[in-house]
Amino acid sequence: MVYNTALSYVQNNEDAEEVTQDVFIELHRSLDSFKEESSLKTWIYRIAINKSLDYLKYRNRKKRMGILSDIFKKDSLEPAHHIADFEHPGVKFENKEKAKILFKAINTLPEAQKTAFILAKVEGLGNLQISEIMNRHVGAIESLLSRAKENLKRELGGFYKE
Amino acid sequence: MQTAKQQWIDASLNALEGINQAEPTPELWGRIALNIQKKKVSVLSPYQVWIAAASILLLMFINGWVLNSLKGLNTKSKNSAYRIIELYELNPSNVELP
Repeated sequence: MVYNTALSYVQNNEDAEEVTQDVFIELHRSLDSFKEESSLKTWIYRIAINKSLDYLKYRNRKKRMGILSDIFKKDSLEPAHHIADFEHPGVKFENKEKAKILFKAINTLPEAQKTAFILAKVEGLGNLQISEIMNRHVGAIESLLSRAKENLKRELGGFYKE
Repeated sequence: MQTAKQQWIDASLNALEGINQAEPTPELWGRIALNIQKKKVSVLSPYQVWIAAASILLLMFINGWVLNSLKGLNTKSKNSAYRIIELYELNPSNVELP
């Protein structure tokens, strides 16, 4: 659950393992402060999502710094910060190519839409569970999911080759 | 009727249907356990921090108190030395006697 969620965000095995480690250390550190206002599963999901989003921000910052240093480095001929296509190991064989493109499109979504979409489509959670995790009304989740689908359709359109 | 492009977009959007959970490498759990163990050794609880701070304050207080009492002792012994000099008229040798 934790690794799978992290993998959908960071889209790289090593990075997902690093996030998973951070999540479990955080869980161990703050287990005493866990108030049973929400279920343990919801709480773990929240930590996993926050850690994944933090990691993405950290990686983007690092990427920006890398691009800057590449500009000043004269001898670099190839782009060092190319992100490889992500292949989720759990995707059905016949969907692999389309899923690769879909994950690329998911990367372009705003944080809240991305979270709602990942929880619904990758984790297979219902709107009620997602609303608990994201601390929003069910209606808000429905709206987030519908906006995410619209944005993804638009984004996917750009990848279509005739 | 849907265009080929529209069909492709819809199919791509549904590409995650029936997706299975991804599993990390088995070594990850060992690494996590090791990390937690390490943190356990190095992390101080707030209670321990308070005890350490209180001990330092107590030491500083005792130190100050001892220094103060030593200062009083020095003045007292200096006073008694002057009294002896006066009593026995012990003047320094470089001062001419009348």
